Amino acid sequence: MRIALLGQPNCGKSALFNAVAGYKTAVSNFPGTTMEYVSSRVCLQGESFELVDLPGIYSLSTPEKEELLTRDYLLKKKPDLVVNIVDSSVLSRSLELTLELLELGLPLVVSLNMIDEARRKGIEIDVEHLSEDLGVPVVPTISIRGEGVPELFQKAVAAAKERRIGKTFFFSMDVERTVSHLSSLLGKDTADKLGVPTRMLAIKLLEEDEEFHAAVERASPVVIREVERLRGDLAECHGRPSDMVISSERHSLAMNLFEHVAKVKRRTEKSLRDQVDRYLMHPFLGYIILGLMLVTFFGFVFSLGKHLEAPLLGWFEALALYLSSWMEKTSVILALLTGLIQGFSGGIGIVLPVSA
Amino acid sequence: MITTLEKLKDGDKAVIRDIKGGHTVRQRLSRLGLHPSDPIQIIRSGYVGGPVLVGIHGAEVGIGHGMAQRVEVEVPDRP
Repeated sequence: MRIALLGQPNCGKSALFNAVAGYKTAVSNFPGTTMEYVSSRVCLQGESFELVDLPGIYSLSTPEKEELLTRDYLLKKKPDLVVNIVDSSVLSRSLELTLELLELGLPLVVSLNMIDEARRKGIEIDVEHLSEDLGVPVVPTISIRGEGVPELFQKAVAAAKERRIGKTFFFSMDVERTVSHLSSLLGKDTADKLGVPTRMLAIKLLEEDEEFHAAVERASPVVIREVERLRGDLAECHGRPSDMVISSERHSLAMNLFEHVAKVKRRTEKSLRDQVDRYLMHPFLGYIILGLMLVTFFGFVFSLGKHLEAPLLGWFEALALYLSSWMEKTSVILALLTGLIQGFSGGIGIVLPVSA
Repeated sequence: MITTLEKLKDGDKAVIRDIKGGHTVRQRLSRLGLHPSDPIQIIRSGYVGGPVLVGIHGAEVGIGHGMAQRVEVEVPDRP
């Protein structure tokens, strides 16, 4: 069984992966930093499966090359289940990707990650309600602390066995009519060849997805002409390009869903982090603080180096002497060890005076 | 008043009207959660060509100056 972790950049995928797989993938605080996927064999509660950590993506339609890697993985390698990790503190935006994943028609489980952060922001999420609305299991988690993770994978394994696929969300009537018209034109064969459900292919074509457009154009140029006509119609009806029509539709579905399942309490007091940010990110003060921090840091390293250099070198010399008195002068091990020590102390002897 | 995103000041509230740009620009901004008719607030405006930090639906999103110029917004007139 193969389970893929997927979510928007910086939502805690790698932290979740580490919590389960037990070794460190580089977790970084910058969005979009997992550039290739890592996989690991995992045994959890008597179940064994392969866990894949995919690079974060905002959307399945994307102009970025790195993000296409993730999409290709989903379409071509077809994992048995996708765990959609959602940053609960920006739930409404994250749900747009969840909706796209539902279009994909793979078994899905949603992990409401950073649920503590959401609560801190005053967002209360009704988990059961959300699960009911999406038609897939939803589990609140705090991946850096491993909270909720066992339950998440228990549900994931169960859902993968059931092959549980979520609900289909429909757009507003006129858009939906265009989508279903295009779906029937495309037919199942074309979509199957590309590894996507027909409905998703239709939506992606209306979104002007370059890859799918090119693929369908090769297969049947007639259909593509119709696609272009439908795009034009949509654009004319809505007064904006067709890709924007679809993304706005998905956006409003996500917003409705969010309003349905979450309550936001207004917070009036500013958090400590906001206060600190005000100074650290200030356009002038920020640089002064940065300078001060660098001076303090290097000052600390330099003064430490100054005090450490002499005792360290003395200590290495003593060690070499001690070894030679203790072992035979001609032994290979002695030659190796003294070589090692000399190299080591030589190295430190070069680095320390420079930093001192 | 209709203007573009990068011209707003710290704390200004506005509503996105339109995104003036090609397919890629539209896709990028939509991925970050910026869509027409969304209410936004400027958290930090872009000083001398720097990025703009925008608060939108409870998230904070940094948008490059060039990209921000493509976002047409409507600021409610002060009474």
